[in-house]
Amino acid sequence: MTQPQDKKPKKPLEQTLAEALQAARGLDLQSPRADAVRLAVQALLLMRGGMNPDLFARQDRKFNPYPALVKYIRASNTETLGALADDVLRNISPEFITLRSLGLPAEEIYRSDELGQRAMTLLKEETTPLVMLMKRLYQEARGFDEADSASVESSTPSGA
Amino acid sequence: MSPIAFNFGPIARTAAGGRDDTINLASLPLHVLLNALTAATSAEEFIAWLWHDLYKPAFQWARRTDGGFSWLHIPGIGAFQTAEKIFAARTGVREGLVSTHHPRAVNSHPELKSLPRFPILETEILSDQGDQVNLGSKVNYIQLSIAAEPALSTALVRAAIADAFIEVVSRDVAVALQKKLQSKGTPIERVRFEFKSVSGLSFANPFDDTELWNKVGKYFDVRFDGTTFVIEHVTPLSKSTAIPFETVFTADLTGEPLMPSELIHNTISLSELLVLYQDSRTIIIAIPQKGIYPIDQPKLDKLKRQTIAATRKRLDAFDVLTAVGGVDYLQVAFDTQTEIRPLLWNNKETKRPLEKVSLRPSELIAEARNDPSGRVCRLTGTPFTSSLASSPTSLSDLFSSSFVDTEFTGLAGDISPLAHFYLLNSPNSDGAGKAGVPKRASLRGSFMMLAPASHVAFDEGQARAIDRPLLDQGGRFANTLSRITTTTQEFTLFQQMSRRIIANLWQSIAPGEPLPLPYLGAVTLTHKQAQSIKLMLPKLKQVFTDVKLHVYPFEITVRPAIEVVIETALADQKHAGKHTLLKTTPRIVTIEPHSTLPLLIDDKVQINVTAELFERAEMLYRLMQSLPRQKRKIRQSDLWLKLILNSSDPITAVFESAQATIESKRLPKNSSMEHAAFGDAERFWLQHFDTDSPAQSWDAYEQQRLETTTTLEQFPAIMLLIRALHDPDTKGSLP
Repeated sequence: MTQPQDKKPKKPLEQTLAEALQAARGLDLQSPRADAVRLAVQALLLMRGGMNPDLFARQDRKFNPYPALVKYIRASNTETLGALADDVLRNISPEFITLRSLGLPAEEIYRSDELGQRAMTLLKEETTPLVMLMKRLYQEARGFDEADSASVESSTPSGA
Repeated sequence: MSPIAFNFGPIARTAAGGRDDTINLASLPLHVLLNALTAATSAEEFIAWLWHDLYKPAFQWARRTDGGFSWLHIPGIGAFQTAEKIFAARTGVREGLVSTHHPRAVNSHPELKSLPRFPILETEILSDQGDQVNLGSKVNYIQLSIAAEPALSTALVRAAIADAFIEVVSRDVAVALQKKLQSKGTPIERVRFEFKSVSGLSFANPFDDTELWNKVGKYFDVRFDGTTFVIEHVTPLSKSTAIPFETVFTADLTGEPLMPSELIHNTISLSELLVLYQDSRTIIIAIPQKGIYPIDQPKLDKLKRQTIAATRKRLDAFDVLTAVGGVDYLQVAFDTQTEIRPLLWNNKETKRPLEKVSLRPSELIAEARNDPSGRVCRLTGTPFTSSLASSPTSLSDLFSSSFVDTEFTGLAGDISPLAHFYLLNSPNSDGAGKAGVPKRASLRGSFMMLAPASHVAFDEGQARAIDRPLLDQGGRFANTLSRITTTTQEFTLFQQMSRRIIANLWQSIAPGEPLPLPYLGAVTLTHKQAQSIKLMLPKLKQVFTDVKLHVYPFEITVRPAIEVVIETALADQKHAGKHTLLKTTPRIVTIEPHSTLPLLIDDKVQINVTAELFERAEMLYRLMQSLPRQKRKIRQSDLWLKLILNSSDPITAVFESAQATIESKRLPKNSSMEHAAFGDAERFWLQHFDTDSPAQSWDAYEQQRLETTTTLEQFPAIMLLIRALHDPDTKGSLP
C-alpha cells in the first residue's frame, strides 16, 4: 500500500473525499460482486470522511480510524447500510462533520434495494479486507493520512 | 511444476520403409551396452559391440532402390570406410567384426563376406521382439522369484532379498567382466559416451563420402583412457537451436552401487544395465554369454548362499529379527518361497515372451495351492508349503491382547515363512521393550518404500521432432513417425528413469547418502526413520509432473513408474505398537501430473494425494508462514487454517486469529487488541495482495478467498495433509 512521503495533506478533505469516492465508483473489478464491493467501499468512505479531524489531534493517544471501523462495523447489529454507517459513525465520531461530497454516497447507501442488502452483508462478513481497500483509495486520494502516524501502534508479531 | 527431463543420448534403432515406420526409445549408449553385455561371447566381441553403431549419431539416411531407407552408420563402409581399420587396431578388435554386424550390409558388400562376424547378431537378441516383448532368442538370464502375494507385511523382507540378489549377481558378473575385459592388463571399468553437436555445417548437394568424412566422420573417436573406454560422437544439426542434446553418459561396470548424485548425472551402474525387469515379486537379470559368464548348478547354489547372507546383513541393519528359537526363518523362506533359476537360451525356444517369465511367482503360488500339503497364510493370503509348525489361532497369542485388526487376518493358523518376519518382529520381541531396550519398530508403525517398477508407458502422439537431421538426405524424418515399438531395452530405459526419479527424491532429503537399497534402486524407511519419512513427504510433489525424454531427434512425454508405500503417524505416540502394515498395500504409481499417491496418514486414515491437493496444501501452508503468533499452545497459523476451512475469508481469519493469540499484556500502552490485529491483517494484505492497482489487489484477494473457502469442500483431508507435510515437530535429520 502506498506510504506517502510528504507528511502534510495536499488537498482539503472535501477534495480528498470526492476523489476517493470517484475512484471507488470507478473500480474496475473482475469480481461478480463488483457492484456490491463498490457500494460497500463508498459506505466506508462515508464513515471515514465523516470523522471529525479533532480525533487525530490528541497527542497522548493517537487515533487510528481503520481498526476502529473494523471493530464497530463487526459489533453493529443494524440491518441496513445506512443504519450501519450511522451507527458506526456515532460510535467513533459522535460529532461527525459534513461535507458536500458526502451527499452522493449518503444517497446511495440509504437505498433499501437488493444491492444495498448485498453490500451490507459483504461489509459485515468481510469488513477487514474492505477496510483495506477503502484505506488504499482514501490514502491515494489524500496523499497523506492523519492515521499514518498511528500505524506504529500495532505490535509486530513474533514467533513463540 | 517444471517437467523432469532425461537425455541419455540419441535414438539407436528404427525400422523404416514399406509398412514399417517405427522407432525405439532406448538411447544409443543403452543399446550398445546391452548388446555388449548380452551378445558378446568374448572380450573382443564385447569391445566391438561397444562401437558397432558408432556413426548412428551422424544420422546419415539414404533412400534405397526398393523405396526403403538405410541408416548409413557402419565403421568400415561408405563415408566411414577408414574408421574401422583405425579403431579396430586401437581397440584390439579384428577388422570386419564391426562392419559385418548387419546381414543386409554384408549382402550388399560382397567384400565383407570373408571377414569375421559376431556369432550372435542383433536379430537373435532384439529384432525378434516387435511389440510382443520377448527375452531375445539367444540372451541368458537369471531370475529371482518370490512366491508371495505382494502384501505390505512382507514388503521390507522382499525388497531386502531383491536388493541382495541384484548385488550378488551384479558383483559376480563384474568380476567376470574385469577378468575378461582388459586392455594390456588394464581392466575396463567404465565406458563413457560423449555426444556433441555441430550447427551451421553446409554440404554439397549431393555430398560425397569424402566431404562427409572430413566434416563429420573424422571427429568421432574410440579410445582407451586408463580404465575408461571412451566413445565420442558428433551430430550435425539442422536447427541451431536444436534443444538440449549434447550429453555425456557413463556406464560403471565395476558392480559397485552408485551414489544418487552419480545416477542423476547420467552414470548408469552395471546392475541397472543387467536388470531387465523387476516388480515386487520377481527380478529378471540379463547375464553375459557363457564365454564370459558361465553358469552351472554349483554357481547357482553359490549365488543363492550369497543372496541369503547378503539379505541377512540387510535385515540386521534394519533391525529385523531373522532367527528365533533355533529356527532360521530366512533360510526357511528361501527354501520354500524363493526360487533362483537360470533362463539360458537353447535352440528349441525361438519365442520367449517376457510376460510368461515375469509371472513365474504366480506359477509357484499355483503349485503351492495345488499341493496336497499346501496351506494358506492368514496374514497375506499366500498359498505355501512349509514344514514350519502351525501358529497359534488365537490372535491375542499371535500378536497381543490389544490386537484389533481382525478384519485383516484369515481364520486358519497358518503363517507363511515370509510373513513370519512380521510376527517375529513385534514391538516386544526378543527382549525388546524392557527397561533400557527400545521397542522393535522395523515392521510396525511408519513405513515408506519407493522402488522402481517395470512399466513402459508413453503417448506416441506426443512424440515431437526437435530437429530434422542435417544428413537425412533420403527423407527418413521428413514425416512424423507414427509408431514407437518396445523391446527389452525400453524396459531397461524406463527403469533407468524410475531409478533416477527415486534417487533425486532421496538426495533431496539425504544429500550425500547412498540409497537404503542401492541395487534395487529403492528407498526404504522404517519407523526408526519416521522423521525422514516426514521430510520426504513434501518432496513427493515431484511425482505429479511430466517426464520428458530427449532422445534426439525426438522429445516425448513418458510415464515411468514407481512402487509406493507411504505410512506415517502424526501425533500417535503408540503408532509403532499398532499393526498398521496390515492396513494398506503397495501401489504402482506413474510419474505424471494426473497421478494419485496413496498415503496412510495413521492407523485410521488413508487418503489419495493428487497434484491439486498437494498444491492447495502448499498454498495454504505458504500463507500460514506469515502468521507466527502463538499464545500458550494456540498457534495463530493453526487457528487461521481452521477459520479458513470454516469459510472465513483469509483477511478476516488473520484478524480473528491474531485477536486470539496476541499477548495483550505485551502491547504498547497506546495500542489495543484491535489495532494490533488490524496491523497483522494489513501486513498480510500487503504481503499477498498488494499491487499497483487497488482493483487488482481486490481481485487477487477475491481469487484467494474463493480458493481457500472452497478448499475443505473440495479436499476434506487437507488439514491432515498439511500436518503430514509440515508437522512442526519434524525437526530431525537422518538418523
